Amino acid sequence: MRIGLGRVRSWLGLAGVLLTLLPFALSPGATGAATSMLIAALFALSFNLMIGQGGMLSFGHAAYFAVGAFATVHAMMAVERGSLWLPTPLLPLAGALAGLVVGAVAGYFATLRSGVYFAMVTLAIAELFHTLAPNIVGLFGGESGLSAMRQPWLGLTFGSAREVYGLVLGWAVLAGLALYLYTQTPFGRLTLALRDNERRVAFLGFNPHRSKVLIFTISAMFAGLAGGLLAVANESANYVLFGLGYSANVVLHTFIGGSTVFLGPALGAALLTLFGYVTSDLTRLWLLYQGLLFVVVMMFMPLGVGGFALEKAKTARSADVSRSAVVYGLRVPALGLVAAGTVFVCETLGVLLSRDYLAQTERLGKMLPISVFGRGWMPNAPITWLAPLALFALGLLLLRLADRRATADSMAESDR
Amino acid sequence: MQWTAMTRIAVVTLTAAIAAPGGAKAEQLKIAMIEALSGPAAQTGIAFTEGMRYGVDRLNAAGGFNGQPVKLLEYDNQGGPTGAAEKLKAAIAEGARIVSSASSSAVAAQLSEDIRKHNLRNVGKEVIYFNVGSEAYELTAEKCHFWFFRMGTNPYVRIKALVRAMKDNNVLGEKIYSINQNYSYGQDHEKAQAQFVKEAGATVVESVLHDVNKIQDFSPYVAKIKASGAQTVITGNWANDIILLIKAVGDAGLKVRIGNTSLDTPGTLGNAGALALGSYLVKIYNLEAGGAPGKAFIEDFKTKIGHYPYSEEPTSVFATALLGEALKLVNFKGGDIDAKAVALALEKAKWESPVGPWSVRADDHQVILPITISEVSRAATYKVDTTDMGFKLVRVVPADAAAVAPSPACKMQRPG
Repeated sequence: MRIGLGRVRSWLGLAGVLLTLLPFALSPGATGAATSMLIAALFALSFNLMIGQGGMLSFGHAAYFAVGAFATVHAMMAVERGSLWLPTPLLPLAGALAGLVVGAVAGYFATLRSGVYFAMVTLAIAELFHTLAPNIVGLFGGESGLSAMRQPWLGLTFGSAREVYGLVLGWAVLAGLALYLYTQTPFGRLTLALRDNERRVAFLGFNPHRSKVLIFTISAMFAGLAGGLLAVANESANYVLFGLGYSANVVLHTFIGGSTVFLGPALGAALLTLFGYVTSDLTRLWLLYQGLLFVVVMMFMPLGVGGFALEKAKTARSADVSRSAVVYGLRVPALGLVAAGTVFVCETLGVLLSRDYLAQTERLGKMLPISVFGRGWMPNAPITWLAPLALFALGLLLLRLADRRATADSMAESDR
Repeated sequence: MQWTAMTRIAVVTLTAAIAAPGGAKAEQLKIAMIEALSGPAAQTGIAFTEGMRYGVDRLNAAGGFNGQPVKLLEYDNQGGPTGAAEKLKAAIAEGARIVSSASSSAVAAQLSEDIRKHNLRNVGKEVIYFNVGSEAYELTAEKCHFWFFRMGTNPYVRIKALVRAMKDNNVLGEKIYSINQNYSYGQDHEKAQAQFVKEAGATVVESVLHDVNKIQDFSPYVAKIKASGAQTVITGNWANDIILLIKAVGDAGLKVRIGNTSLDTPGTLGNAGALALGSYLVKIYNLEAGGAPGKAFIEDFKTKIGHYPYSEEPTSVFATALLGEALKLVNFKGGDIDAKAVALALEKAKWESPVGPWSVRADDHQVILPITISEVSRAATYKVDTTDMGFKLVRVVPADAAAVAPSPACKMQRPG
């Protein structure tokens, strides 16, 4: 059964309403995080135009993102000085323009090669920016970067987190829509063809290099727009944006979300940005958990979270719903138990091996309980290590049960 | 739609109920430390945070502030200015009135500008930025503002003290070679070295800037040093750039003395080995300094934190002690905290550290502090990196002798 377009539309409409109302229910800090999620989502969508649709793995997409951010800050500074007239809501256009120009030049060279060589060239271009930027103080502001201030426009001060969120949401939705409509155009179809069989595209009379430069440029333009939105939100830009970390993150976001589904990368980016925002203050080990999450998603959902969900939605029949409800009723708590066991062990070890704790033990001559999940655990008590082990084992057991149930269901299905 | 409107009203009412001031309740002073607590920069970030924790514990041992203990909130900047900007919003929402960070100047510039804008937009709810270790000179020059306090050194203060002490000890020589990293920090160092070597009556025979932590072999630079006939090399290099420079100088058998700012970073002496002997280090504090009060401080620090204070850790301890003195000058009688009054009190406060007085200069909010000069030696009391070497105190440069005139670029606008 195909999911009807009408249903997709109503879901998207509901999501739109929720996104619009979100800042009214959130604190300014959380609204800021929601803004970052939107920006990351747009960046991931622009990146997916390359990898998901064009089949080109760019390892240096942060370059165009950062170029967009710097262009926007320069525009904002010019507005502040009074030497440029550009209303604040239109500032990100400067980022899009810069992304387009730099993307066209970089794309011309990068797309001369494909595959691993293409990835290496894009990486090299990003590193080139990353190395050069701190030395060109006038353009990139040195180590401390550039900063500017959003100016009021039409009675809006753009001083509150809520107004900024509104601006970013507007642009992200517009750009997301534009990127979606792109996939529906003949050139959007050609992009998919290039990914699948470049030689054949050439035989059909298209110039693959020229087409790839165009795809690269459009992708860089949207990345620049996302960078521009970041510059508007933070009122600053810094050369660290050119760093490998930002380029790697967008790859991670895209694959976790699923590059085969249009909104998958946006979903992955939003989820992981939220994950970082929430967990980074709870535990110092959050990067470890993010890595584990990536491994688990790649092992069990190779199409990403979005791909997985779409697959399930497509194959779901009303008769199956009650059956898969049982399977997932087992799987979800099982995964929760496995995760709880893992977090338990990691957190206990993290505290046990920390300098603070070692010093404390030496000073007091005895070990104090370690607080995990709101309760103190003595590191030398067997229960401290048996409890997570039990959680882990129970989780695995439930997973086995769920798997067996699912196999039995599909056997019954094929018998019919 | 009705349902959503209802939820909105409920949420708004709830938030208002929680946020409403419950009579004349005393505001707790909250200090937010926004640092790198995960990822590659965490080693430095955690050390700075430990120093801050120790400092705040001492404030609380002395009775806290406003009838309550001072609370330290710790936030992970997720590795860069973007994460720091987000965490700043969260910290302000949590009620932090003093925000602190230490290591990255990129983060410092972002926070400084964000706080300046926040205070412009939220009069009456201002926040103080209490930086305890970022060296970028422009923070107290072009970018200085009333709410920013630099509670640590900058390249000019350090090089002035270093050159003066080397001259007084007759180890400066006539010909100086200046080698630094090519970004804003290294460029500040190059300027400072040129200025103070000239004031000491010596000559910088050659000055060079090189890539940051990318060079594996410094022998071409050593050849240039040899050809220049310099007796002393002064450098602001850190991490690999100082280790490999010392090794290359030693391997070439060149007899020059090195003056540097980062030899005490853990691992540096261990890696450079005996070749580092005789090098000079300029730092806020030396473990051998300060007589009995100094000894009491480092022993107390060791029992609480687990090791003797190293690198920049004393900076945050001394800075919070000065803050404690400032807090004694204001009294909010158990009501709301006025950040402006605290900032003005910081300008007046004075604290006697084990090596001399600390105070803040009102013109640019640069702390005026004594500086220690040490020599890498086998005769040092406290050995580092499991070597037989340590930092032997050469002399303490008093606060007024180490102070450098405020930058003319700093045009501070004081609140009315």
